[in-house]
Amino acid sequence: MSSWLPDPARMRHERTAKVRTEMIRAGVDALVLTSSGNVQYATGVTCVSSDPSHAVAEPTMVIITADELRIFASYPEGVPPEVPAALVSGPLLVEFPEGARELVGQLGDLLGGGVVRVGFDDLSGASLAALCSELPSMVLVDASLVLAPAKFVKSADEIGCIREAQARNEIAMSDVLASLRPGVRQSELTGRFLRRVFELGCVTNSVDPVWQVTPPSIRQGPPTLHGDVAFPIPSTDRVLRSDDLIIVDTGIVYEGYCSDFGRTWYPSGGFPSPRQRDHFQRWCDVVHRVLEITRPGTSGAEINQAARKGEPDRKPWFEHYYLVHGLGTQGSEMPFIGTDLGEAFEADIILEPGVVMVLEPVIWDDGHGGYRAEEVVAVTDSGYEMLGSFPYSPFYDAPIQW
Amino acid sequence: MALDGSERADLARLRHDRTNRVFEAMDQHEVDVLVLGREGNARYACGLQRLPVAVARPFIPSVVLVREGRATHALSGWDFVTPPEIPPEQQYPTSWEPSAVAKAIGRIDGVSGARRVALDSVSPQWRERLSSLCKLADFVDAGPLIRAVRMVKTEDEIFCIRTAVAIAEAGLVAASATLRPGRRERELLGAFVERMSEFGLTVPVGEGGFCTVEPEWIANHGLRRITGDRTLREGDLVTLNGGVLFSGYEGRIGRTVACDVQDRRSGETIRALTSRWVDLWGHLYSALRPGATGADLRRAYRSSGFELPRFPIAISVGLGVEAPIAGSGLGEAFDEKWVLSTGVVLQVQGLVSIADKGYFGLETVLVTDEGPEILTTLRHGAEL
Repeated sequence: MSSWLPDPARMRHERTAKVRTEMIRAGVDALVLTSSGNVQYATGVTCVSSDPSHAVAEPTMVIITADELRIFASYPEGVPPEVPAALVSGPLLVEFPEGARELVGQLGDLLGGGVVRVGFDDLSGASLAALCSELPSMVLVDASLVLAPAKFVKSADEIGCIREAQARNEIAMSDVLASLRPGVRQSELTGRFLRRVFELGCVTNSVDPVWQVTPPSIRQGPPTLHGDVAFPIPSTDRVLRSDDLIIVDTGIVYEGYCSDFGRTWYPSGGFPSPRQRDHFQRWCDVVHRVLEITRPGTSGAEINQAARKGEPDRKPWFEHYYLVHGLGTQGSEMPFIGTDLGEAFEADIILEPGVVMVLEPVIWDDGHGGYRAEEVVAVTDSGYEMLGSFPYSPFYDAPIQW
Repeated sequence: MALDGSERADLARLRHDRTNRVFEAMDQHEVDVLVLGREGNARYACGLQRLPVAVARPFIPSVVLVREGRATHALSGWDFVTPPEIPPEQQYPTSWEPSAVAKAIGRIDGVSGARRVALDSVSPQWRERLSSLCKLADFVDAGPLIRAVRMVKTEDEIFCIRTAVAIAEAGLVAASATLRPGRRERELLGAFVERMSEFGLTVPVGEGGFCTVEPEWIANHGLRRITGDRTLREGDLVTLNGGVLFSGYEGRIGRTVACDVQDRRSGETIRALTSRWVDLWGHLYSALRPGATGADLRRAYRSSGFELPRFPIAISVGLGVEAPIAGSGLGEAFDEKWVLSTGVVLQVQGLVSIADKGYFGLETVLVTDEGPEILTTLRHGAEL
């Protein structure tokens, strides 16, 4: 863990300024945000976010224009200390026509009734109806037009938050790994993980922890339309058996920033088979090939090709998923590499210093299982920095020096 | 109550009943196609379950119900669990390219000719895509339709909520047992979720409300209700407000306890405050009957002599939160529209005070013809 700590107030200030710059570039007059990751990014306001029904029914919404900010919070304790109280009001309950009319009133007041472009990250059915009838000349656009480019490159403070989130996530996972043994239930691992995460001072768990028992062949698993390995499957009270292959995926939030942890574990512990060693070694080779070219100027298409080189039979990731995703105030954001969006899309992704990538290759050897793990990487001026350092038991009991 | 006894809910029947109710409501509202993106609504309508994550996801049409032929179509995404009764031919594949998903929806029988399409939510881009798929349609808000259906619970749903409440109570007792000066608020949440997990559950409700009661904060901002990182001190009053999800159904309970009940003064404070809570509850209890409105609850709260808190006093719950039916910022006229009936489940919550000390309580209540049934059972007082 680094001794340098991020400055949250400076970070929030810089992000809001960046959002406003991107609004000008995209020709967007106002943003109306309600998704917790977006609200957090643009304003630093923390919302209740651990389940979607509360996020919808007890919303926190923010409206940002070039020179104004209005916060409508269900939970005022989530508003950062530097925000003047005058900017904060009670929630706009936009799931209901009455609340949607209040939103329309706010937008009319801020922007007038003329032709304006407003970015939304979500519209309730009631909001859509109210906006169409009351402000018919308003042009509705996706807020991602502004937010995706703003979020793409992270500041040192943002990367510091991700590093902290990852460090705390890894501390909690080392406790979980110590309690992994045949006969433990998935839900017990979840309980141990969550308790530890909260003790470590994190406010939010970002994904229901995955401890997926994965059969060695796809046909033994749940049927899917995509035909690949079914993943991720929510955890239950299932008992883990000695020879199960467990794909692990967890994530937490620190100062609004997500971590992402992935490994493949075996409840029986040590002595992997030669085939399991081969899967793991090939997985390491994929990561090595990607890291070799991870530096400013490399394109997403080049990363894709590097990962596939040496794995001619099958793309070394879950095809319905991706090889790479970004990480920030959302657990999965740009850059996406290895999706079905195609080569042209990936050729346009150019790495820059401050881009954060989660590499999640998968070696799958149908009939014999496989290996999946994740590494979080920040692109630097001259190459990359690994943001995690968790060992690869039972293959290596120390972190790999990539 | 036994989790694995004969009382267990029949989850297949539960899903079947819910889907039927949604189609009946589509008939009543003359909705040809219902498009659902909110996770609670999608799960209600066809049992589609999605990996729980903290950050709300961007809109995608997760479920498309077509009235003609009563066909349920569900997105088959990588993080969705599709219930067994939806055959592959009624699933459409996900893609990172939204226009590919739109194309698949366009091929569903009954979509292109629909005259009335109801949406619970949408994004600007998806609004354009759906408009071009359903060229003849009027688009309406699905909120009133789906909320009315969800508010009245079946027996199976009530069983799930009862079970969730029982497990939430176990968690609250565990959190209370760890309470002592020097602990941090988040450690109480940690004890709560760990106890929950011993029952095989993995998803708590939100971040929980394990918070010290701070009079100055209440005066300026209202009661803190998101667990934070405050260190508990001798004599602090602490809200224990936690919930869990059982098969998606929310059970929640809230109490306030003193940190270190050995302290005679704080023990007395809690006893005095809980007697105020009992007074408030007496007023609310009489308004929790079929035919009463949310506005009746609001008036009952006021008639107890306490000011309304800055949060809703009654919230309808099922697969998570459905609607604030009393005490929200939308006012009394809004509350007047909500009429209680048998089978409605509410979280009823309030804040009472003496001088600068505050007490928060939350009960989960089932409205029945015979009167309210309080599903939460832990007592109020110096100890749970």
